[in-house]
Amino acid sequence: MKELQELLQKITGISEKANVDMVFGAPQEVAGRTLIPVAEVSYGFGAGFGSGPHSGDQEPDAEITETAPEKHEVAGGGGGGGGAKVRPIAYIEVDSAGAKIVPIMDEKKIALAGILLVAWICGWIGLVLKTIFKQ
Amino acid sequence: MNNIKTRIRLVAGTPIQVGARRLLPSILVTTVEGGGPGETIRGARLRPSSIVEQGPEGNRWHTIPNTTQDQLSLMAGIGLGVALLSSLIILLIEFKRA
Repeated sequence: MKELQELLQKITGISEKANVDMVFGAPQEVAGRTLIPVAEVSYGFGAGFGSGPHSGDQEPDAEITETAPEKHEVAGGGGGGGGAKVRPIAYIEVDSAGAKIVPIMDEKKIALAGILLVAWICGWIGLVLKTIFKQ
Repeated sequence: MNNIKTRIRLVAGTPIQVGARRLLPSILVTTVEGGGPGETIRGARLRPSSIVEQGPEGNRWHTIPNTTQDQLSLMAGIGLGVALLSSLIILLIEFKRA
């Protein structure tokens, strides 16, 4: 178990170093200007492991025989999962005048949130009107 | 799951050289670590914070905005405000009737 945690610690350390450099991308020369992409990076993973005595189909207190020793061995299992996300949030434009930050808006997310907000406001207005015109 | 630790650090990124200008980026790193007997979780969020531009004119500080997040926060604030105001109006109407 300690080894597993040390391994995960190492993986985290490696990915953090790599991702710090991933946040600011490589400069690209476009039409006399230099553009540097900027992204937000997030990742996570988890793992679990367990072990215990394996009794197979027999009762836990069943007699151990020489013919089936494998049924009383220690058994273990584990699992894990993870994910990562990289989202562009801006780019840096560098020209002779200097550097300028140009933000990138996630229009899809804003539009969806806008629709939800309008529905939310309509719902509250409806509730207020219902209260006003209630007998 | 127990022993979940959250750490926030400001990390300097690799300097970027563009012509005569040198950009020094900084990144806000939020890490989450946790675990117990037989389980472990790790996670991190790396958000660009700012850049310092070093050029012939001197040093300039640029903050990197998260426009999408700002817009979503504004919308959430409006939603909360509408809910509070509407609740207040409903309460006043009910109070007047009673």
